[in-house]
Amino acid sequence: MTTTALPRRTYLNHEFGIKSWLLTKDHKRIGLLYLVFVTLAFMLGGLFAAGIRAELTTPAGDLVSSDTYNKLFTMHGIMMVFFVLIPAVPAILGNFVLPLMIGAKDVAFPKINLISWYIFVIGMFITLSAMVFGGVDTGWTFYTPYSTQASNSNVMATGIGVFITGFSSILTGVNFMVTIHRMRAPGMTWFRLPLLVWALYATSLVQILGTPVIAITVFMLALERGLGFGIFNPVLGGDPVLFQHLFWFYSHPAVYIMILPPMGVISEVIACFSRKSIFGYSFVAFSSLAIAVFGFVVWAHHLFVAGISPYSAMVFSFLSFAVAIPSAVKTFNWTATMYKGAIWWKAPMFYVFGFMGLFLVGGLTGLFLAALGLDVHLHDTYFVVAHFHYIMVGGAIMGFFAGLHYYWPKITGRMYSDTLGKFSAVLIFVGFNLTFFPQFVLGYLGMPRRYHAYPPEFQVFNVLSTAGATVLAVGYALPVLYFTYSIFKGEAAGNNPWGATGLEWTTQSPPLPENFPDQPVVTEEAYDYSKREIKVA
Amino acid sequence: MSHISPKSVYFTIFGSLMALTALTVYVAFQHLGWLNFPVAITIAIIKASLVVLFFMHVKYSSKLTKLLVGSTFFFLASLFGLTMTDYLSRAWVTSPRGTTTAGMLPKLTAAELPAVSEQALANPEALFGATCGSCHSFTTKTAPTLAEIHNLYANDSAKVVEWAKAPMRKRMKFEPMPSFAHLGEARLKALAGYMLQQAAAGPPPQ
Amino acid sequence: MPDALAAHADAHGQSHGHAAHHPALQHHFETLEQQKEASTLGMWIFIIQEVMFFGGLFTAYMLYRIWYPEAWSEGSAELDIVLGGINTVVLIASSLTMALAVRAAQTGKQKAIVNWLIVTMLLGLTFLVIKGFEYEHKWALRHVPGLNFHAEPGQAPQVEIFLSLYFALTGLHALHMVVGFILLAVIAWMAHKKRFSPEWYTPVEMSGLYWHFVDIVWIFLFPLLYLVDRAHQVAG
Repeated sequence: MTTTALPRRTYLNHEFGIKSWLLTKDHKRIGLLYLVFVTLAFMLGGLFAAGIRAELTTPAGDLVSSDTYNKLFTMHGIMMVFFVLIPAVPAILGNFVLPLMIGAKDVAFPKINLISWYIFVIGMFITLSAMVFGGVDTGWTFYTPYSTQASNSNVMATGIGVFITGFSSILTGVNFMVTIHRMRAPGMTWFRLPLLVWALYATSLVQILGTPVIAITVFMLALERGLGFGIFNPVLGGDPVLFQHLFWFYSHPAVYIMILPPMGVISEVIACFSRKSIFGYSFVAFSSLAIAVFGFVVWAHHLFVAGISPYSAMVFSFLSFAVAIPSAVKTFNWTATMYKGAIWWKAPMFYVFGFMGLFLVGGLTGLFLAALGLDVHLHDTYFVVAHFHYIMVGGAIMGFFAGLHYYWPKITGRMYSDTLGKFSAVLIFVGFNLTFFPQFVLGYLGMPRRYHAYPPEFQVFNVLSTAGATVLAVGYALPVLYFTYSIFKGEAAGNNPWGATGLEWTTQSPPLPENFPDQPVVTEEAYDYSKREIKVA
Repeated sequence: MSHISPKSVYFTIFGSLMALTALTVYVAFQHLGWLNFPVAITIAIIKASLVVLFFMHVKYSSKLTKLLVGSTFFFLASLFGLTMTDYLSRAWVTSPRGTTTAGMLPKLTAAELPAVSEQALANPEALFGATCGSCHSFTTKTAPTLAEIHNLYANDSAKVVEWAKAPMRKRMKFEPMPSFAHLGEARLKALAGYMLQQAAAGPPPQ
Repeated sequence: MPDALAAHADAHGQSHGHAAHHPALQHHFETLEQQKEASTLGMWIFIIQEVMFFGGLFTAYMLYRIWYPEAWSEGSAELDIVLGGINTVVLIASSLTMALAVRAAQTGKQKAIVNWLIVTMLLGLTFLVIKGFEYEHKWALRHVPGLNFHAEPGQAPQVEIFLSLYFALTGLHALHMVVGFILLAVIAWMAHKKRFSPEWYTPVEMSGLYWHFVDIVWIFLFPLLYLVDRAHQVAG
């Protein structure tokens, strides 16, 4: 293998100094700015999780008071949902890679891209302040009337922080949608686009249409709590369940914001590491759109036992079953892609396999919960907690890590230790299952969620879960170490260390500030691996 | 270059919007019953469409713009519509454990009804408890309270009887009231008198 | 989609086939046309998300109107239909003047752009002043929910919900108008500095789209808040 040198002029070295980063309009730098803060949020969210798991190791509520425990799971949820899962793939990987993938110089609105980042950081700062100075204890779901009338924690400040951060998501969605519509290189027709672009497009739809609704809901919450307006107040005739309707109208599609981009990443990685075009490309592309659209009509499955009409619940239950179909389409197509492919076992592929297994379990258990009769028993138990962690951590975070490991050479120009990458993937997979599989059992046995004390017969599963969390923490810490090391000591990656298709791999690593020396023109179909040789490293 | 509309187009649209505004105010004062609301919304939609098509130039815009604007209404409609599948069907639930349900009571059989005699109807408290009182109290959330009934009827028990025989549905929030015509005129008179008496007396002290 | 090959400008900004590089052309775009299309699409998408933003409040409104028709009837009757009507006329007129401002930009009438924008702003200000009077009156009547609400005797108790939504909807709308006003001030200043031409007037057009959207919200708010059951019918 020839030794490659790092390119002379890159987006990283053409300008130095803090101003060049804080005032950058380069989508690649903005992606990295997001990476810093999302990583910070992930660590903080993880710390809250550590507090939860530490408390739950013993049946008695002896480590922290129930009030403090309420704050721990609330803040864990808020940090992870709004500051990690929602931005992770779109704002970090999407920002970095989208213009490269379509052959553009930048996103459509680079200044707005930077403003999005500032909005994100300001929202995060406000939310963190609320957490530090007293905390929030309503659950990340802020249900009324507790959040409007009774809670004496920092609901307002947190609400303001979340409201502000939402605009970061909306503006990113606007930016990506316009970029994909108007900035594609000549020859890059819709059906030649990499599937990650389709995924980001579908995600943008959800961000644009859904996020404003939670913004207005938080606004109404603030009016009620702060000024005493009566919108959800039952004493005045309001309906607290209306809050839940409006909250989940966004928060359910939000989970598709969290999963669609990682699914796009999975498509990229599977194609490359099976040396095969994605089976059923157009089905996978349309399934992203279908998930985005269907995702908007299932929200009340979170309200099945809140007192909504059972007739309405039946409608939502049916629709919730339907939304599983496009996800299944993707899963089958990915599997078919790998069948008779030439599997190349590198770290990104390990994360892909982790994703496939964990997303499958998470998705299928979602169907358990979509069934009305079952949900009556499983709602608000650990079964739900396990289900959504399988999807969000086992699915979304795994997908994010697959993307990080896949695009790291492009982002930094350096290779990381593949052995350590694979080891981390396995550690994360094992740790994850140890943490969350016992929670399915706990939920089935009836342990409620959001309780800091539980009957002693549940302890063994809780101890397993805590042990798993420790393994998981180590698994997540390792990449921080080897990625950091690679920045300084990693071998130069070259344009295309994976021998992948796609415009982003035709240019240098790290890329030029303007991405391409000349305007690329696209003549190939996506994932045309027929002409590529397997690169043996 | 994008389309430049002549000034006359803008003034015509403005005129139309003014006329439609006057129309909507005029119609609001007409007795159209339940039609008032759909008419008002329709006029508003027409006005909004004129602004969108001509002031915002969507009529001359790309297909993509038209598609985007159109699809917004789909998502808005799903927000409204699917939320309403809950609220509009809550009253259909007849189980007593429903949220805004009155719980349909079985009609009292002939054997259970007290005789139609002055003596039997002198104190209709028990009958009241098994019929009107099961839904109408001072604290009920599933039917108008006794206080509201007092406000509406004061001492007019004849009107109460008329209503109980053929109840209309004026408040969409509550489930429809069933007819009690089967109790017969005498029992209804006694019940109405008793109910208004209870209503006038006010709620018991806490 | 413009033919990006023919319109190619290399990274050093050298001029190509037709016009020299317009000062407003940002470097990540190939042509002004592409930039304008992108801006227009972006603004429309932003407006769409604003529609969903108000949509949550409209959902609450719809539910409670169905549940509490008397409260809605009484609450609406207490709003000043004359002031509301005047505001409707004022705002629609401001949409007209805004459209004429955009047209002036399209036809290169520099002074007219500024003048029409100023008229639009003045009309917007009129709207806000009238709204201010309405709010002040509501405060005097003790009709502000949570803050000084005092139920009139015999009134349907849920009027406070109607008023909560009244203030939330009109308050949010007014906030959007203030933002619009500031936006128009900036655009008017740019127009005064002769920054716009028939070749590039995108900011005027984008501000116009935003302003018209704010007008459209009011077109719905007026009948929904001021014209409920004015003929004194009970729903159903």
